[in-house]
Amino acid sequence: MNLETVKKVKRSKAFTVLDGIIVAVLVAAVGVCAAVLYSAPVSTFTVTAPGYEREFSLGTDRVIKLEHLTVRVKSGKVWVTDSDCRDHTCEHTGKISRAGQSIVCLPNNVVISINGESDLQWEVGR
Amino acid sequence: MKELLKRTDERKKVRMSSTRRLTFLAFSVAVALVVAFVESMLPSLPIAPGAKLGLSNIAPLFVLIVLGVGDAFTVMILKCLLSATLSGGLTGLMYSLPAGLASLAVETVLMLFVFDRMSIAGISLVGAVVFNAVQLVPASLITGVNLIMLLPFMIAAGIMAGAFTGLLTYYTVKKLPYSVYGQ
Repeated sequence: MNLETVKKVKRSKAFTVLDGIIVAVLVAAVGVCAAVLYSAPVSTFTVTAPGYEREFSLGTDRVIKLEHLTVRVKSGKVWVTDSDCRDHTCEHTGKISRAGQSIVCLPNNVVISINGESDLQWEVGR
Repeated sequence: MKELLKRTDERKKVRMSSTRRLTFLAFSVAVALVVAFVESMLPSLPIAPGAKLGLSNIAPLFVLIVLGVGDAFTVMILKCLLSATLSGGLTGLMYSLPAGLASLAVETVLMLFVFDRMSIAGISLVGAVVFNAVQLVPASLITGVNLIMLLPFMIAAGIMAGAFTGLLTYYTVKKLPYSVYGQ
């Protein structure tokens, strides 16, 4: 019989400050675990131009200046801001963000496409 | 004469305490088994299938406080072996024994070094989190699926269940009169 410990337990408090700290740490661990384990993989897109091909992440905002046009990435969306071509179809395509979507500039031979398996069932074209 | 009386008294005390110890051990294991059995018959929570409160884990912690490290491990091992026998599943043993031993080891270390700064509820909470986390290892090996995705849920469930069972243990030790502990 361990009477000393029993006495200590009887005198002890139901909760202590250290408990609170440990619970906070564990809750933070739950959050970190969940964030790491359940975060969706960041998708990428590829920019192809004559003599140029590079893959970029959709996760980081940036401006990509090409010879004939400028590509902007912001909060997971990609679009062409200005192009020196005749028809500006690429600018009119608007912002793309889903796998399988693409922006094409025929006069300049530039293709911007988001990598990955397309999750779209169908698309409405123009 | 006085000397002799004193000696028999002492011997009586020793025998009493060893009988008490044995009774405590048997009683704790028996209570743990019944509680585990009743708990296994309750329907599991719809939000987390398979999640249990683990009320039977009160027994090893209680014995750890009242008797000591060795006896606590005895209770833990017996509890795991016998409840696996009762429920008829050896898989249950492969989940619960490593998890139980790991959690009791952690609880022992905490009890020895940080108790008083940390409450019984806190120690039980950490033990339950360790129990749940370690369980994932044999579970992953048996099912062949990497169950690491369950880790955040297991930690969260351990925090709640461990705090609850820890509080129960604390109040059990606190409310039982000293006569029960042999004084």
